[in-house]
Amino acid sequence: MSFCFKNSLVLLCLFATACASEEKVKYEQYVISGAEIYKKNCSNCHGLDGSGLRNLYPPIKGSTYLQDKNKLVCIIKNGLEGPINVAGKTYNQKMPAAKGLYDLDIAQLITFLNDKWGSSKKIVEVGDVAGVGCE
Amino acid sequence: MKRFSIFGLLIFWSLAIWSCRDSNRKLPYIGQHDVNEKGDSVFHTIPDFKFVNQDGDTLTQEAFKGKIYIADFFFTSCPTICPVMKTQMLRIYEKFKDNPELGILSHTIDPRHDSVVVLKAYKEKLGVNTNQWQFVTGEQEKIYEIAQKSYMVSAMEDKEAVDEGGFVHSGAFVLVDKNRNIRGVYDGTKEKEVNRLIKDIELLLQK
Repeated sequence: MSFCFKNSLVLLCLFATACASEEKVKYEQYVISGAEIYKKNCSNCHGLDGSGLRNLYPPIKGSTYLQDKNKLVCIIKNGLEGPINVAGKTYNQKMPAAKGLYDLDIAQLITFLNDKWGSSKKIVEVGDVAGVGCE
Repeated sequence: MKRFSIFGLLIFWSLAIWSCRDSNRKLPYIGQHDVNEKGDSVFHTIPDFKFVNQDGDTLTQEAFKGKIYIADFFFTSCPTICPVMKTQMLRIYEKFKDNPELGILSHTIDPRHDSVVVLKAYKEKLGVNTNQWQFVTGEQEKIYEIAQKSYMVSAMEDKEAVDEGGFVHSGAFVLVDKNRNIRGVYDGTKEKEVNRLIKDIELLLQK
């Protein structure tokens, strides 16, 4: 590969990133930060691969809870107690409230969850989280 | 001359490989060593114990007679390291399933919450359906004492440790041999450490 060709490739890449929409860059940032937050706060129980742990902790992958953003925000904020049904199985293990997470963290976390295991590739904004009224 | 040196290298290699062979490896004895009146070494030993298992039955050291076993300390409502520990312990359980010479003993450090019923449900939900892996509860003091003094791992209640679920404990897996001596302590939250433990179990089982 000639020097010139290599350089033009680098330039092309630079242009490509520059041209990527601001929104897309922000989305990518949210997904990356969200992945870190997931690893730190959620993966112990739900697993790095989102598959949960046997019949003890429910999977995130394939869970219908991902479809209800408001409910998800409240579960993350307040934790969850009592039996729930996920993907046809009953789980009954207490989930603690993620007290250390700010609205931005939760927005990034849910953006990541949806990106990785949900169907929506849409960003969840801080306002989407802050606006949810939980009991 | 050249052929000679290649030959020498081969000998060196085989020696090196032979000496590294896993079966020649020896596991250390962990803990204080004493010497008895006969002049023999006496190793740190797990004393007799008496707890209650997930079926409500009394469980003593007799359950592990003639077996090596792995001990750990956890609690069912633990939001931090316990699920990871259990994921790793499941690897060991699956690997040595139905091996009568290996047992697993998980102690709860939250006996007020982790009753017999809770432990039974927990065991079932983990998919553990043999007696090989026992979950025990008992007097909190007795559990903390055996953890700290005998298995030499930390386990205590700490109401300040809210994020950890109110308890502080180590994620250690303790490998105990047939003579109730400790032969290894491993971080049960790390896959690599548990790989090492699995190798050490295989080594102990050969003896």
